[in-house]
Amino acid sequence: MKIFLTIYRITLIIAFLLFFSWLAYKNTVVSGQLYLEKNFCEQTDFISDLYPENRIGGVEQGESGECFQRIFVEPAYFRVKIPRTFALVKLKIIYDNPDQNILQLGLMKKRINPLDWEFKIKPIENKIFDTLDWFKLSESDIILWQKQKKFETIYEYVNNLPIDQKTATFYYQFSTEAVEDSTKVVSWNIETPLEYVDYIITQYTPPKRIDEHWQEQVIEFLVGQEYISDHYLEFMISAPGLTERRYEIKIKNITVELNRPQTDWSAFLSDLKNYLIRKFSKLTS
Amino acid sequence: MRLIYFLLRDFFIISGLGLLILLIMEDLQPGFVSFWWPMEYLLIPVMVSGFLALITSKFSLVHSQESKKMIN
Repeated sequence: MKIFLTIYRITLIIAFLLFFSWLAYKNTVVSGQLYLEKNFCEQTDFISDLYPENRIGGVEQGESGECFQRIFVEPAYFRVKIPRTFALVKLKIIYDNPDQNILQLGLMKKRINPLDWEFKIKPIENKIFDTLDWFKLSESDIILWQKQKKFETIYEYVNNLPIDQKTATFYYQFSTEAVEDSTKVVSWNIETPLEYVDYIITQYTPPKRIDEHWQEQVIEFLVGQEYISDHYLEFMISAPGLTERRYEIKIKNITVELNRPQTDWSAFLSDLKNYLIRKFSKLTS
Repeated sequence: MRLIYFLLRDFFIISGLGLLILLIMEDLQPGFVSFWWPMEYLLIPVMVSGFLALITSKFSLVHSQESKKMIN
């Protein structure tokens, strides 16, 4: 019996050590990539439902069996829990937006003071630009629309900004050397009349249509410690004018891909040492 | 019955110590355990094994006293 009990105890200790190692492996994200998905039909601990409650509907099920949440009042938010820091987050959102012209996604900066409210915002959809019938040049994620075709490439345009014509920018920044006359470059918003401008340049990719209702958009953010609060990232879905016009947006699926450098085992001991020093100094402070 | 008691007792002690270590880790690094595994899945077996070990300890004690009487 003694030998049996000894083997039993050793087995239990090994089982615990294996479990602990598995937890350490999951938390370290050794591969450098973490995939999270929310389809609203199932609860997930990693991606929250949309909130606050007074701006969104409950989780509903459509005729085809898909689940979604509606946004009636903007902006709405959701959180993504993360086990450690990441360098890049790529979100894929599947949504239905029949009427709203501008839809945006923001990543909230960590709040140091309660009144801090800073976001890094990127466009999900711009229906005005998507239906524009101007000459369009597209290179990677930069698009240039020209009322009258004058330039063959975006590079040519950026290096020869017309001084007698107006350019509107939408999530795009010219270098200071490129702009000779700053009055000829305006930041576009929904109130900017299109008759007023001759060129529109943007760092925006139109969403991909999946079917009659649903569209898909992928947006990337660079993240760092300044965007992580208590192990979560907070995102905002913004749709200016949604509430006043009584439109609504349905969100069906959110997929999050988090990336960081792959774990370098040679640096692991020094990372562990620094981690323990940080934790113990936090405890003693 | 003594064997069952020892099995339960050892399970309770080792898993209890393990749970304590994980709770400390969870406090130092929130989500270390809870992101991946519900804490209840760890807590319940520890509590149940401790309770059962307590119950079987009485039977184990009675059994060992009777064995001693028989030997004497």
